[in-house]
Amino acid sequence: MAVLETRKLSKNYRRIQALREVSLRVDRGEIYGLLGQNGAGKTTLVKILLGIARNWQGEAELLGQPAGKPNARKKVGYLPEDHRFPDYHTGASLLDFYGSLLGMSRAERQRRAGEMLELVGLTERGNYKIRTYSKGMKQRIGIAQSLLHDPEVIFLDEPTDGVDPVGRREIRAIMQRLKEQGKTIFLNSHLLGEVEKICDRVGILQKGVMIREGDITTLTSQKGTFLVGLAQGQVFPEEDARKHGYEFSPRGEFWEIKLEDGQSIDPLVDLLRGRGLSIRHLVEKRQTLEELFMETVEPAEPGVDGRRLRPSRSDEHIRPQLGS
Amino acid sequence: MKFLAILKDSLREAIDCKVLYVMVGLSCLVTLVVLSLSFKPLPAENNMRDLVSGKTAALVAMMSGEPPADFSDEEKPNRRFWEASPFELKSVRVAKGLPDAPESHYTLTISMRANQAEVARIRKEPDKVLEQLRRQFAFLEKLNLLKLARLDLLSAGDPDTSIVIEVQTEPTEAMRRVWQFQPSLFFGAVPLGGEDSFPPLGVLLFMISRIVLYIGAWVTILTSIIITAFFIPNMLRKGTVDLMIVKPMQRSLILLYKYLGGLTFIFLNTTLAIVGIWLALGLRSGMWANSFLLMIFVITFFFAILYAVSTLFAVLTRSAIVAILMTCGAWFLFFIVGTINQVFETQRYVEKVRQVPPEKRWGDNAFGSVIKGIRTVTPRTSDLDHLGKQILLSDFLTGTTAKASILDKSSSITWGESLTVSGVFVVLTLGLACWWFATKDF
Repeated sequence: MAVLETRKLSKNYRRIQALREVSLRVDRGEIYGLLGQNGAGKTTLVKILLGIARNWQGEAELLGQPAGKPNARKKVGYLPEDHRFPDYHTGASLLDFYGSLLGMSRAERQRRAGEMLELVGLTERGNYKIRTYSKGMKQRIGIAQSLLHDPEVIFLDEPTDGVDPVGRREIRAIMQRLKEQGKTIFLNSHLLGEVEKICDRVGILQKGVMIREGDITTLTSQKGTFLVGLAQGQVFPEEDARKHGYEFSPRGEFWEIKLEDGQSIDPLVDLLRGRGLSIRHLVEKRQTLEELFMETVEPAEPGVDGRRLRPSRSDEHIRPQLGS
Repeated sequence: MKFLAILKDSLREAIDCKVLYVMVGLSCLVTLVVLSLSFKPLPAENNMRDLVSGKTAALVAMMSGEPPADFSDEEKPNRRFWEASPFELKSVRVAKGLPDAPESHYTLTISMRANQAEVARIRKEPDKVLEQLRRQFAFLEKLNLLKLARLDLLSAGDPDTSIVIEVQTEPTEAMRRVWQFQPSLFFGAVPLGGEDSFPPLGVLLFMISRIVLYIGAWVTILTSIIITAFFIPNMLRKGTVDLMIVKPMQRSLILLYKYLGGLTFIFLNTTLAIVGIWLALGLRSGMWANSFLLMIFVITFFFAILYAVSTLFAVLTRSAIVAILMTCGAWFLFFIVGTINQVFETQRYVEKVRQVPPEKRWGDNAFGSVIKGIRTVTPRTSDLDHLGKQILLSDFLTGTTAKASILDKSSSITWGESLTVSGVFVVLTLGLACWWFATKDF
């Protein structure tokens, strides 16, 4: 069942086309990652779904209701990218304030605020003013407020921004737990390693257009490319492999085999085994999400010149050393 | 509950910027200063002298904006008009009650300046002069400040050169309000004013409360404009507004609640100050002008008009500085329009009373008409001030606000019109702000 869905969703900010006919669907219990460079339209898409941005074309639904309807937002949690919480609040009072706006009872607010502060590791700092919080702590309280009312869908825009590696792991664990509880998470992030670890499916936006979408395993697999490794001291039979029509190249201690259409890896395995060689490593090669992303998108972010930055003096000073 | 949450949030924001403490501190300080006021009654002779000469009545009339009675004396143009009264107090006797107390009955002996021929004429027809003297007290009697029980022309004295009249006064409940008291600060340590002549207590208290209210309200409103101007721009900051409007609430409700939150904050602060001053004045003077409490609503409504302007510009520009500047500009504009219009109104009234021919009247000139037109559609901040002043004066002088219309003859200002025009302005301004906020992309 689709928790959120857009069909041919477009949005213009005056002359800038932020989104162009974007269609996507996220099902219940999924963790969906939306990737893209700065200005690709990721935040705009989230803002439309949450009713923060208005005047768009196409269709957008959230929890079965047209996007932007207050009722749909009752079951939605949101952590914006550049959030600025009123710093005159303490962590606890902020949760209480947002809980009131969400229509939660006093008892429920108190109970949930305590639970959320504990979840994000801020119990001890709950009564401190937010202005005294570090960036990572602000991010944690942001996650706490987004989960306060036990929402069905959670939109997280750069949730690990400014969080240290230990904190990131904790946030990933929280997301995993939410997924197990059947929650749907819509994640915007530049940290592709994080996305790869946690998301079921991803979409890549570029200049407002959805250029790739699918589950991570499919997107990152490179069909027809294998890595083969032999036992120490054994030599790869290059000549025979070439005779069997295999293309290969060394990759460190492994050999990368590229199959042509219709070609199978099995004859090569038979060849190696026939020669009495011990196969220690055989995997179908996968790309990292980062490699996929870099391969997919254009090098310059929208609104930024496509040319390389002119090297500064310090770069020129460093370059020979790097080259050497 | 959502409204209370936003109200609490606004209060938290105001407390955080520390100005609230300064405002509460100032309110307490003013209350303490008022609490240190003392009022010492002046002798009956001083009081009756001014009542007989018409000075008290003239002062009350003047305070209420009524043009003074025409006592003009061409021979002495610089003489104050009450000094032209022909009546003069000769002596005062307590007929019943304690001496020098406003609640006592007094017998006054009054002489009248007249030449021999006039004396002879008056003696022949005494009713005319008695009626003239009664008219001198009529204004105060109408306001129930004084009651004349008996007026008799006496035959005592030199029958050819003077007229002597005996008047029996009866106190009214409001008599204390026209009695003169000497005020002093810090429990009598610092006397204020001269020694033998003061305004009636009602006028004195009215003047004190006007000064306190005028300065206090000005400071309160200006400070409030500055504090509250930050509420909405702070809420509209990128990264903050998203978190507000993503909540399951209509955007216009969020803005409206924020507006009401700011207004409630001012209401509470004003209530603290006004109730404190009212209690202090009442305890020290023994006079409880309940309409003083009405000023809580007048000041809050006054601020509501300005805060609507602030809200509109805060939503349009997201800048607290622009909101403050535009609000102060609007405040100044409303003040100027109201004041100039009041000048024209008074002029029109005076010209009407004096029956100036239409071609010689300047109260109806083109500029006056333009100002009148602008005033028709702009909030009536000056009118609220004027109406508040009249009610306060009436209450301090007569113990009731019902006499406000008697005390205010020169103006055509009404509460209904002022509140309606100002209320419509607030609704339209907020409506525009809500529409903008509800349709804007964030």
